[in-house]
Amino acid sequence: MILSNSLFRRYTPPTCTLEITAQTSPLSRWAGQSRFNQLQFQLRFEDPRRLQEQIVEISGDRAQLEALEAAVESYIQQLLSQVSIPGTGDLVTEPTPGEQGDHQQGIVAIPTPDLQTIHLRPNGLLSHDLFFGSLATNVSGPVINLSASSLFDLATALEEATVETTAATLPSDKSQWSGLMRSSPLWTRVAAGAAVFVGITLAAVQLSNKSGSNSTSDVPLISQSTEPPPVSPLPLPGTSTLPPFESLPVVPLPSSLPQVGSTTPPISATPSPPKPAPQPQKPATPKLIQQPKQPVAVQPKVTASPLPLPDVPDLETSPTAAPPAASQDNTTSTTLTQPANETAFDTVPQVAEARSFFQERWQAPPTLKQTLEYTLTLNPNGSVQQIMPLNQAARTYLDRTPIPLRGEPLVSPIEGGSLKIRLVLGPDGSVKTFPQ
Amino acid sequence: MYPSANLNPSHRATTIPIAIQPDSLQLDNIKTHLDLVLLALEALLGSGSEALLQAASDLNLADQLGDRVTLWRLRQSNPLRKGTSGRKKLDVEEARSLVLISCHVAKQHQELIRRAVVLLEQLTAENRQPHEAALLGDYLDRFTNTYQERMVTDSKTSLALTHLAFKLLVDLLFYSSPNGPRRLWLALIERSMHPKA
Repeated sequence: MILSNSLFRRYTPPTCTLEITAQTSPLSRWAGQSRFNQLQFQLRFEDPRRLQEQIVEISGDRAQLEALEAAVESYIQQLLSQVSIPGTGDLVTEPTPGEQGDHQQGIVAIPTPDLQTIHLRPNGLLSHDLFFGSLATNVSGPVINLSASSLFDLATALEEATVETTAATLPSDKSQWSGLMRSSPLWTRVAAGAAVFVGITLAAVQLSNKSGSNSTSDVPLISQSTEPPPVSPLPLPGTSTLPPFESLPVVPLPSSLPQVGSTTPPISATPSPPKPAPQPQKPATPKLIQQPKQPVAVQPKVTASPLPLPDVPDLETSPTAAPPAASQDNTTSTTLTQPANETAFDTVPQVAEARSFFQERWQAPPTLKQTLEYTLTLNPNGSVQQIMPLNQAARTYLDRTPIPLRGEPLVSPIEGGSLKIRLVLGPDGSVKTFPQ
Repeated sequence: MYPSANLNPSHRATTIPIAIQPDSLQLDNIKTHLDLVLLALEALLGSGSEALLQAASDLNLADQLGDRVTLWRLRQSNPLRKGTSGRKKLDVEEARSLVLISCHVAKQHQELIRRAVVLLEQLTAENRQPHEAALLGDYLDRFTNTYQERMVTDSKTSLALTHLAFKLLVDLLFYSSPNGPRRLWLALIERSMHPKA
């Protein structure tokens, strides 16, 4: 019996895509190995604001992925630790020694790394250069400029990937071990027990991992599109999704400072590591961990597109091809759901155009539970003049909607001046538009 | 399963080990920056302290920050604040509570924060003024007005205040991620040790 499978993860924040492939084995955890063997990653910087030819792709192995994550997180921490009141109001600057010495002190304190080291440098508040180091290729070039939001996206993807790929090692704590045993499917425990009983050696396990044959036995790993990773601890009942206090690292201050240790329980008296174990953060990540699950399903290759292609809602195989009325038939939860009513409202062709526009682009975030309602005021040329969220959820999720920015075109030019459209985006992927 | 997994957050808030005891200057710096982070959040949300109090309730930290008066007194501990009446000493536990609350609210409003940051990037790239976007203009106005209203007048120029507002806005984006509390806490500690940096 060969217990090795390919695993694929994709992390898709708005401006980059991180894909990880690895070989996995359910028995490797018992052997004290990561479940993710021979890990390889591909990272594409595909900010929609970039041109097609500006999309950059890099790839590497586990060590390089970890080095990239460490460099990014360390850099972000230094950014956050900088003084809030720089000497100038520049938001984007050309880095010069004088400027950096003036208001980027937290950054210039870093020794200049060599070209083979992954590192970042600031160009003001909103612009950062990521030097690829050993990840650089002739195609990628040695450096890429990232906006602040792109840097955030990169850090988010790397954080999710790191949590997932490093949380899968053998638990050292006995309770963790027993908890893991309890959380594992019965077949896994039976398989592991049988392996021990029969006396399969570690070497044999490793050999079996390398065979590369598939087996349906690795259900919890391969079925990740429908189940969360099995190693995450259960969120604490009655608590939020934030990590507990213990996860806040305690940084030792100079020894001259008085220590408060008398009330310290033994278990917590040990100074926290510089980077907390991923387990405490796990309760905060289920939403983010779920993100890659949708795209993990078989999907056409979209890597070359500079713009995010409309994602396919779960329940519809081809929403872009479906006529508006047909896609509305699936809507069950909101008012005015009858397609006939909606088409009757289409007294202005731009209303139907707007509906078609959003039906092609709207993909409800997995966390969205409410309907989003907006009033869009359009200019006579069909561009967006004003966006007015009509409920709190609409305001919160505004960034996730495909609503163009002000001044950007939405529909064809409008005869008779401006137009107001009521836009209703459903959590089930439905789209409604009405003239106002 | 990590230690104290069976404790609710408020209980852990009282039992958490305090391995550091910042001196008064360091604590002052922590207070100052925490208050500014909260100020930026309130300015962006335009919702006063309601969101913060709701977060305190969500996190079972209402015992410490349960009402507007307590929160106000904690924030009055910022040495940059005008007036001293009602000022309360902020201890490390309260600072940690405010860290969790700040990041919780930032996470809840991550989409809005991100949109503001993206708008700022786009307008800057086009050499346009940030306040051309209503979201940024409102944020900047509220931040500046509240800052000038509440804080001791100093020599900050309007430009420096604008940059402070936008620096805090970008910071909020990074605090809105799952490991935001860790980032903010480390930043506070780092700042408290190098207040001039």
